[in-house]
Amino acid sequence: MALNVRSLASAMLDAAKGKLGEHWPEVKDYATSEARKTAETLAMIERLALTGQINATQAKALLRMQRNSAQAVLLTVEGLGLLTVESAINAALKAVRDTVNSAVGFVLI
Amino acid sequence: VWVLVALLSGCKVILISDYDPETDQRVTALQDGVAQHLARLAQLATADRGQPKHPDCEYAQHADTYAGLAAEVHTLIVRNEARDKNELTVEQLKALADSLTSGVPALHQAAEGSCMTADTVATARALLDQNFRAILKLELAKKSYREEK
Repeated sequence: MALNVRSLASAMLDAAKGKLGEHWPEVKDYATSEARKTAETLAMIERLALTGQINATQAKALLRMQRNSAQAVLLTVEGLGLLTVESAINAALKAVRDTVNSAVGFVLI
Repeated sequence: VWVLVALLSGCKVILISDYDPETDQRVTALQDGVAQHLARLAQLATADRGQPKHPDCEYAQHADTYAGLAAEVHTLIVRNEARDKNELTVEQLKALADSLTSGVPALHQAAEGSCMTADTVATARALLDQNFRAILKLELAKKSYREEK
């Protein structure tokens, strides 16, 4: 039975959402797009194997590359989350900078 | 905790490395080199279960290209390992290196007649494109987040 791209993408996104928690809104578009592409590529690998265009060694090589690409995507998602947190902290510090510096009488922040 | 760190250091909180234009340019150049290599292989590709169109499609004819790509990605890893708070990009580059040094060459070598089909080349390209896109997306975000927010 052929792999269902939509189901695969949906399953991957559901798993990712749970891990990403509050960062999900910032990475939703990117993660959704890449989950779809990952699912499409898995379906392509299945089709190549079923049509005899690749042998077992080649299928393993493609799956290895798939794992590497998925890892790279997840690292980007993690990085976007860190950048979001960093922006939020710096915005918060900026918001109170003048008040705090005036209160202590020197530049603290 | 981060607020305390910021107060003690008296500067902005930095959780991840800065944008590096050299990495951006080198990754883009490497992606271009890979794209040209795969475009060449696609031109030489066999049809489904077909015989090679041309002896130039065989792995041995491209071993030097694979060695060159491996050298370029290794240089990128070394450069990025020297940057502070840059573990994410380093791991992304190592994943790319694995695909370029073990993935694609194995795919090519193990092919029937040592020549890949057009669909196999297209699948390899899709996977490598995803890896390159992820690296560039993160590198460019380091710049855009700090400029806009």
